[in-house]
Amino acid sequence: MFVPSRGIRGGVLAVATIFLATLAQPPTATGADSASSRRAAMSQVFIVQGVPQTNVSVTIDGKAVLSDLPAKAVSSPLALARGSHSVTFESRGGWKISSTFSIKARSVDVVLHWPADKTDTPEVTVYDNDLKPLAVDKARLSIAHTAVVPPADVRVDRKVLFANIANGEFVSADVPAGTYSVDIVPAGESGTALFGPVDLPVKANSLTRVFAIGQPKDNSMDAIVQNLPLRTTGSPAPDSVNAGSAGLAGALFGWTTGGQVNGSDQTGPTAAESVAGVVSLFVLVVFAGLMSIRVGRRSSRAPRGG
Amino acid sequence: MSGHRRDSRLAPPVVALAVGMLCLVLIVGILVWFAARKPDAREAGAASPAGTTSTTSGEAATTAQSPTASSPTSEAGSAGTSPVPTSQGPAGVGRAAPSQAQPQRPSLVVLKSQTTVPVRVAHTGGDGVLQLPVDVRRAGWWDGSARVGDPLGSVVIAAHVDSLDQGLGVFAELLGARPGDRLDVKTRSSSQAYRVQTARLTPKTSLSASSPLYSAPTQPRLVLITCGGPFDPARGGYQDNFVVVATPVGRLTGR
Repeated sequence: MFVPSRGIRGGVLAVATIFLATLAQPPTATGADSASSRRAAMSQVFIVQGVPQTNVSVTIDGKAVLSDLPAKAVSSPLALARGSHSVTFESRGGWKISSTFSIKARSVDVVLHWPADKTDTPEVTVYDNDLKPLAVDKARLSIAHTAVVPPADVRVDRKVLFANIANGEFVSADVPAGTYSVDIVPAGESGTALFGPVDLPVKANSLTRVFAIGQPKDNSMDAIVQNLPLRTTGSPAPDSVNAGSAGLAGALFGWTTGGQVNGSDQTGPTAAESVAGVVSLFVLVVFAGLMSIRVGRRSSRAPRGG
Repeated sequence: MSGHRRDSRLAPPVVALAVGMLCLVLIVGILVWFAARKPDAREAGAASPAGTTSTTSGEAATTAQSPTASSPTSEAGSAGTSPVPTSQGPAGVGRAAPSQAQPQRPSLVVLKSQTTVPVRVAHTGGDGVLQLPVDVRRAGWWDGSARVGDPLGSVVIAAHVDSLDQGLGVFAELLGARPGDRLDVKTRSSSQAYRVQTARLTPKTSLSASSPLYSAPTQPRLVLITCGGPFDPARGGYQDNFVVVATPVGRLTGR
């Protein structure tokens, strides 16, 4: 149409620069986009009090955030920016510990607990919460070892589900939702449980976090259970599986039209039937091959699998 | 400013346009700036539900804490006993135990005859029917079922026993499966052996969404499904499903 002069181009550039500068002025909250990016930069942080028989006060980045947090308590989520922070836990008349920690995940648990060999002071371990989408109607179970015990196995119905977890470690799995009978035993041993068995409800479409805390010596072994909702993926259980449409299988084992064999209680074919089946399977494969060539030639429409 | 002076040498409509745009941009800019300040103020006030909790409890903390903060020091001072144990340093990072499984969806089934069956992802449709690959040489893994390596739950894989235009499918071999038969399921990077426990017909109506076959809260297992039983075209074809249930043998290995 028309070639813009240098002057106009300069003007447009200046205008564009001013416009961008205006947009950039408050770089944080100029609309939905940056609001969500700011939200993404914040993480939800739960403080988990895993030291039995004491209340603690919690200071984060020099600011008192919680006082008299009792044993087994999980705080409501705090909003903290990703990156480095400091936390101080102080027990009345007990100890005072200060730790630095780094937040990388969207959701974390900052857990105060005793180390495997109890010392003067507890320690702090930061666990990321795995909020990846979960198959619909399943449950994510994550069990962490934060107790004064050696490496341990987690058993469900007295069978080892998670093996050899050391203090500060965790194991997680996506499992069918339900109530599980869980106990904790020394790794590789099946004798006396260090904790449990207890009935642990594991809810569908959510993350169930369990922190094993305390020590057997003073009977303070316990479990903190935290539950976080999860987004789901996958599809629900099918109501029917239609996996055949030609009736070719019937000839293999004498399943005839009209259902003279009521198959519901049949526990598989007998040996004789199997031999007959293998022979007829062979014949049928050849037959079906020939059929499919013919059908292919006729280029008939593929019927829906019924 | 210099841009404006240069513009003045141009035709009046262009100048007017440029000035107009400049004004518009300035107005938009100011509006955006104001709009941006408001959420800021709101966030400063509310921060987030969590933030509010922390400030209120923080206030509670300061009032409740004054005795808290003084008592240990006074105790320590008056009693002259050992000082309050303190520690400093970086927090630990929660690590997965070495036994942590890395489950993956199945990508291949190896039948007893060593026939390998590629496995695709299968979705349950809105009508509740599992959408299987049309190709009778392939199987579908229900995407709501367990993955190989999950410690509990059913890995559910189904395939057509036959089709009119393709003849018998690879899963027709399952109709001859016997307890004790070996099957292998492979994922992208691992392999798991299974041993057949049961192989039987079950009426299609019994394999509804609530079937215990789909959920196995006590053990990991493999559930292979195809069709079988009497074929009645007037009643939708096969009247039964043929279901093979197998349990893992040994550990998950590298592929």
